[in-house]
Amino acid sequence: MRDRNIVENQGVPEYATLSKVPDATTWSGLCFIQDTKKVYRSDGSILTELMSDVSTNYIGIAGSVGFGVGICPNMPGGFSKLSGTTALYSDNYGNYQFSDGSIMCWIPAFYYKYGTGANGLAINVVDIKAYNYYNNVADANALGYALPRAFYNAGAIQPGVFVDKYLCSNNGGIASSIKLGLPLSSNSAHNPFAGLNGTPANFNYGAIAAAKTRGTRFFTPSVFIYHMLAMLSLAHGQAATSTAACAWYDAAGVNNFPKGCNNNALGDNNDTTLTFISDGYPNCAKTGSASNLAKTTHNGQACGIADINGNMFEIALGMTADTTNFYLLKTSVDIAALTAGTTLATDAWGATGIAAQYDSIGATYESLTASSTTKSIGSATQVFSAAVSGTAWAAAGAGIPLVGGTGGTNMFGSDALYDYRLDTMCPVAGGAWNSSSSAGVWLLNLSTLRGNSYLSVGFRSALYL
Amino acid sequence: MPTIYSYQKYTDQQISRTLQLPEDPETLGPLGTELATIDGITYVSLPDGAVLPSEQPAEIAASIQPITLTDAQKIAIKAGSPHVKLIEKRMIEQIRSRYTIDDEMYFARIGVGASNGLYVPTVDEMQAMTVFGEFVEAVRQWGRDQRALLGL
Repeated sequence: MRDRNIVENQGVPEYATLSKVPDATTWSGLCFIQDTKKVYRSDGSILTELMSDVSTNYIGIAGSVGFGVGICPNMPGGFSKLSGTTALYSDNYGNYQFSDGSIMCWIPAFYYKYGTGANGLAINVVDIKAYNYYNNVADANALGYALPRAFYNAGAIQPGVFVDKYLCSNNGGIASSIKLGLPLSSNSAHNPFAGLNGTPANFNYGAIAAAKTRGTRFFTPSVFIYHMLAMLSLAHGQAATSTAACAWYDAAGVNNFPKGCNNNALGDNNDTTLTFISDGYPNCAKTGSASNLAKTTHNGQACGIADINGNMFEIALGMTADTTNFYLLKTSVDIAALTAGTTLATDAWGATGIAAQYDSIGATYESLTASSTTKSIGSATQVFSAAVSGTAWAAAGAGIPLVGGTGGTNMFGSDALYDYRLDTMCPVAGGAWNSSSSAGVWLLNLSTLRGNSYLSVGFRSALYL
Repeated sequence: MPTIYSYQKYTDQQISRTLQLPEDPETLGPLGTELATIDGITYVSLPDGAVLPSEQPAEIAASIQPITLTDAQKIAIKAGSPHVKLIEKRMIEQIRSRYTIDDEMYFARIGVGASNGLYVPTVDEMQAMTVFGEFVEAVRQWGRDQRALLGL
């Protein structure tokens, strides 16, 4: 099938980016093959070789080099490119640096389809299409593909999102994404938020102010962003055929997911070769300190988002609860404008903020039954809804499995779903240094509250254009 | 005194099942430590006062049992446990924070010489060796205490 990702520079005529050279009987034109870095004519002959595919805002081909990050189409002020930011095979591909030194990864928007077994894809297989594959969301929806909830903000479709490569650490008062930093926590005993400029509170809600130490538009990522990253990991692992473009790939399919600091001994529960450097708080690791960084990233490459499994739970906005219902943030709300209290219309918590900014999904929803138990994500049946709009789409985008989507499978890492419905819920994602097999990209802990203070809860920042 | 449980993990193409542990309220992580898997048997240490959840995965439930480790099992677990390896690494780091490897070799040389009568250390050397010995023994005791917290 033709990919509409078009490149128009490097002196090469327009070409499409494909995973393999198509059959000449059904194709005419030029195509760029990621794995070979060559542009081919329709007869299979080589037109030229490129050092990189410099197409902007392209999520890439699952299983291939460069998948999961991309080139920002409109780099905001304060950002600069790194050496290799636009070079597909570079460790810095899709990585940018903000003026405080923070390294952030650009995640281009894309479309996805979860397989149902009846929609052209096997159950729980996810297919990813580049954002420019379809003319618009309606066209994509008509063919069963959806734009992730993560790419909506303030009532508009976002072309992508910057996400910190590393957990935030205290960089002279600024919460920065820096390699080998000491990850911040919401507790006074472990690299506390309060050490930052403006003295953010050492509670989970302090992450909102902490993110603003870098700039007013930076925000604590949403559950939607974490689920989007997990989906990219799933797609990449399913499409990979070796560790060449996916360091954590497991051909057996048993441990085919990003690894991390999660065995309470500065190592990974499933990969005994991986080691981390202590941050000084016994078994928590410095940011990005893995002996093989690519094994800890969402896309299995050094260019990806690190420590996405374990080390520190990560505060995730966009979902909350009161004593009666679960709520998801409306697509019309600007997440960067959320405030940390419980009384204002802009607050992420409290009745007024919920009424103004959230949609209720009810007292229970699919796998969320307020059971006050911990479930394992994954099932032989469909785990996430394939809906392309509405509540089912938003809930899937938040990482809420279907009612039959728990029990735990290798495909989803047996990651934990903490099924709680508590007033002022403040979800956390990813897991901590001692979370063992329950940690992972799918983990969604709904037992934590706005006012909690934990040694093992930190955050990273994100930014929409 | 921690309680040690042994069980057999279950893994097939689709699912993996491990021991469910109580939650640590300080870290939100599990309370307890998987020590090692030796010959297909996984050993888990549960700290004082912690209670294993009664609901365990059906695939492993029958294999779960509290045990008293034999000396041979302790040796095998110490050799295979990443936690014990980390304790050993930290003991070395503590010693290195004050003494270099050359310092240790120096004390070893004069210690051996003194023990077999080939060398008579000076008063200053004896004092330095005593300070070194007390420090190292404190570190070793720290290591033993850490292993004891794991039931080893």
